[in-house]
Amino acid sequence: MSKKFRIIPRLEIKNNFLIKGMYMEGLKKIGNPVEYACKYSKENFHELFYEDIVASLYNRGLEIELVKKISDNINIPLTVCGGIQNLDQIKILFRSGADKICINSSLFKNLKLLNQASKVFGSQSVGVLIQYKKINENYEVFAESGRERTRIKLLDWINRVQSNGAGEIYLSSIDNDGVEKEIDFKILGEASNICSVPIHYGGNINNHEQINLLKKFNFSGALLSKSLHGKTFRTISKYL
Amino acid sequence: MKKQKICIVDYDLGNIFNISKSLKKLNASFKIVNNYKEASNFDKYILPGVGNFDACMKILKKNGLHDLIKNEYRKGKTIFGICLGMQILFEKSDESKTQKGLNLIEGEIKHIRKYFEKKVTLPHIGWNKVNFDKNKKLNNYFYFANSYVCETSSNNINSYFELEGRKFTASIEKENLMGTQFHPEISSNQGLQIYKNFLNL
Repeated sequence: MSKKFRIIPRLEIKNNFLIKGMYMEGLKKIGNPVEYACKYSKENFHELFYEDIVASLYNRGLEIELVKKISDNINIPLTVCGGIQNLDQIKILFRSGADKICINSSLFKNLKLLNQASKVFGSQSVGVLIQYKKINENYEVFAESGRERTRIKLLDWINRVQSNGAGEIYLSSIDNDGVEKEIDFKILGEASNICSVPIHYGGNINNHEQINLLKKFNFSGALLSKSLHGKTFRTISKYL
Repeated sequence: MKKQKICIVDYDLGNIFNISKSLKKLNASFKIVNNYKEASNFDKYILPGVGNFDACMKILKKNGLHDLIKNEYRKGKTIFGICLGMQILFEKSDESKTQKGLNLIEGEIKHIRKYFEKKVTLPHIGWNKVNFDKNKKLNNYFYFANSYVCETSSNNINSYFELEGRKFTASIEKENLMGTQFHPEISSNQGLQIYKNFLNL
């Protein structure tokens, strides 16, 4: 394979701070997101995933100035996620240095937005973030950073967003967010199997075995946060 | 020597911010222009690349930039197309039934899926290795985000990338035209080198 498996630092942002939580709750401040973005770009990570974790919940737009500042300091692609509800916002984000955008919560009310966005901007720049959690024996999709249960099954939602123009899919496991707990690769394999667009996974990735499994299941990349910010994944450079 | 002036053609969809960033880093003098009245008398032109072929051609026609680019090309000005910006230099594309390209170079744009019988992951997004025919020093990983590729005579092609064992065009060069299917503005230092070469042409 000539194409690289992408190692993607995930920058979760709340009120201009880089934060990290557990199970998407109990948020801790980590530092200045611009500094972290700059460092990851210099270290040749493959792209950055910027996620405003409260924009949608507070029903406000993204912090455009912060997006600009981050973009100004990096020379790798930037995906921006959080609170996106319409095409005008997307246009502003692209003009502020985002290379790709990613939509999550607003799609449960308005799936058409996905279709429209990928028609206008091309599906290669429109991704979908899917946050999921195991409830009894099923994997269900959640909105609003894991706060809102949708009762939609994970694989059903993957199919629906794909047929509505998603150019990439970013899976985020709430059960594994910020906690060292075994990842269920079985559901990831099933997810990847039904995917014809690039698919990525985030949630407790901190070692080579996990990355090799994701590669084996045809994932295109991994989102990493805690293990990078806290430097616990020491030998990550071999993938860069 | 008088400092050269670069025009970034703004058709409302492109990734203007990141291209500006690269040019700023190289201390180039540039202007972002979205209508034909302001777009003449530059030394070089950049056609950015995010969006849909059909939408892009319609916008270029609407604001008079379609003819302007063609005229500037005929005058011998350097035109640099990036991703979609490169694709619109060709005759036509699978992405549009109604809109033809600028037709400055022979060849057409095809959907990558047409080249494979089995399932391939598309869009083609991420860092892929680019091999240059002559300037091997440039060989490196560059960032791609595309579902379409160009098909043209091998004389026009100056580098390739591979997908599932098949070779595709990564960049082109013909007379005063240059184009990359990848995005040099977000391809780290190796990408900046591409802009340097463009400025030195």
